[in-house]
Amino acid sequence: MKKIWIGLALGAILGILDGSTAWFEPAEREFGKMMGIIGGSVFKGVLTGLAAGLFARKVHSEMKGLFFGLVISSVLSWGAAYMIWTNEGKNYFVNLLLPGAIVGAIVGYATQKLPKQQQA
Amino acid sequence: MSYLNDKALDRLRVVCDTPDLAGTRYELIALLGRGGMGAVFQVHDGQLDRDVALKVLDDLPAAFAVDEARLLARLEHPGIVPVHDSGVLSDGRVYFVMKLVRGSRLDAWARSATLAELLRAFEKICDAVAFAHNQQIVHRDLKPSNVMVGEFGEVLTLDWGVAQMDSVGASVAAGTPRYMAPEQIRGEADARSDVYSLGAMLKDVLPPTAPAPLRSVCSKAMALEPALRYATALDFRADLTRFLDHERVAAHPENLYEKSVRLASNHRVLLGLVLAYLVMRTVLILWKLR
Amino acid sequence: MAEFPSTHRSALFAARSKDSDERRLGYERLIGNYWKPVYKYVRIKWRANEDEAQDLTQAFFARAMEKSFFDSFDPSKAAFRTFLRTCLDGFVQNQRKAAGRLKRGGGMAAASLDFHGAEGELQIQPVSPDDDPEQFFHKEWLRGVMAAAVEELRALCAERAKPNHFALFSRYDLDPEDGVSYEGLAREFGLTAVTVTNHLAWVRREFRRIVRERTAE
Repeated sequence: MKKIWIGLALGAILGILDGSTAWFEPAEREFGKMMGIIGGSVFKGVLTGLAAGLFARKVHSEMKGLFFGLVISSVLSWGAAYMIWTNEGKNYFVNLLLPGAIVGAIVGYATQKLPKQQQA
Repeated sequence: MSYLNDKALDRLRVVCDTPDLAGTRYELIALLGRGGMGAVFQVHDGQLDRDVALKVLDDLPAAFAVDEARLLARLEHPGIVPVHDSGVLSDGRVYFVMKLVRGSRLDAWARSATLAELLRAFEKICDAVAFAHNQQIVHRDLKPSNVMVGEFGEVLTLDWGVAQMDSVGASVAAGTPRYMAPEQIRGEADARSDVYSLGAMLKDVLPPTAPAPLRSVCSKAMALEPALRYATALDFRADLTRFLDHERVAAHPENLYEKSVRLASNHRVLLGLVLAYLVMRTVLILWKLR
Repeated sequence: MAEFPSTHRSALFAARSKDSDERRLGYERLIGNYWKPVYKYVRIKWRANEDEAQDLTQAFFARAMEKSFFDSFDPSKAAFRTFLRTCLDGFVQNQRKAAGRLKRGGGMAAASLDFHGAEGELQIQPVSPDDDPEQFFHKEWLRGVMAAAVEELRALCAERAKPNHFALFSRYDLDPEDGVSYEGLAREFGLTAVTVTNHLAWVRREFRRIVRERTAE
């Protein structure tokens, strides 16, 4: 269970941080919009963390975990970008996919490495 | 009396060392070398149809010679060469038969091994030595030439010929000076003398570019005062394991820079990802703000 | 009447005897075995010149007999040569500190020890002072033992009318030419290869016995 909790926590924290970077876009600085962006980012991060944690319980490979997290987060980020495109007509694919993929990779890798295994 | 030069002396030593195996089930193949207290030969076991190593002990009181064979037979461990048989030659010398280790001496093998492989081998040596110490037995002649790395990667500690029961107290200054603890030279060896030898061995086979923490491990093991060394072979092993796991080594006090480098090295993938994210985000932000 | 000890073991035993004649003979045997490695060791390890090394060698054995150094030897603790070398190191160190006059003699006239020959041997095979002292002493002691054993073997073969035996030993083990073989020696000596094998087995067995008697403690 530890790996799942780590994935959830990390996904949430990184989701908050990643979502917060939207502040740098003046058009998105309104409080309500920021909350929405951060909320969505946290939701994406938590889902990625959960998936990565479950994956880490079955597969023990840092690189596979990294790649898995990257793919999951990329898919979720693409989904989010597509929703924005269809609802608001804004092209945020690059803005969401690329950093989102790296955040997913971080979560996937971290759930593989943590918690630290005790030496036999 | 005519002078015997070194070559003649060596040949005569071989003649003296060569065992008369008549009456045994073994057939002499070749001299492998001279160990702590006798010569070792490759012989063929006619009964089991395999080659084994046969060690003939130099003239020792029979009780001592039999003691050595029994001592070795007690040490059943994957890292200690097993004894198969023992007996007495027609000339009265005691012999015992051991597994023939096909492989390389540690010092020769170390030249082509990676640092991680070398340290893993030392972990195995420490395990064997610690096992012997638990049986109250001290090796007293640990050195690279007494460790073999077999063809399957097994690491075997040989030549327990000068080993001594720790409880009896080792008053003989036996061993090889380069790897001998100061107290051992005085004839007062105990388990910590073996720890000293382990440190000396590691120092010998480490490459010149070995990192500071490993040099600190060697220094601690080779402290002149036994009380300042690792208390046991397992403590020595534990520090090697910490080094391999990129953890802080107990023997080496880290400064901030060394700690940062170690942590960065241990988490370089993570750091790389975080850096990539920051670069990516920065680029995107700047692009938007342009 | 005390007899000259024939083996190393009996010499060690005799050297600790309460009978003064037996004791003296025991010491003489031991001195005969060890004076040369002692001399060479003092020359090389202690960097003494020829005269000083001669004086130290004789004085050491004189002191050893006078103070019964060898009485405290315990074979369960170390080989005799190790014990003797330790005594020698202590003696030379003390002599150099005291810079006192050395007592020579002790029953052995200087002429009975061929220092000139020993010095010649050092010239034939130079040794570095950095060589391990224990190994150097051991090798020189063994050289003396082996040389004496070869002479005893030669005499034994002559006594038992086995001239071929020693000759074969000399040609194959002592000073072989390149490519020497049992078959080659068999042809040369007009013997069969099996006979050569048996002769060599006998003479090697005797050689090992002689060496063991000379080294057993």
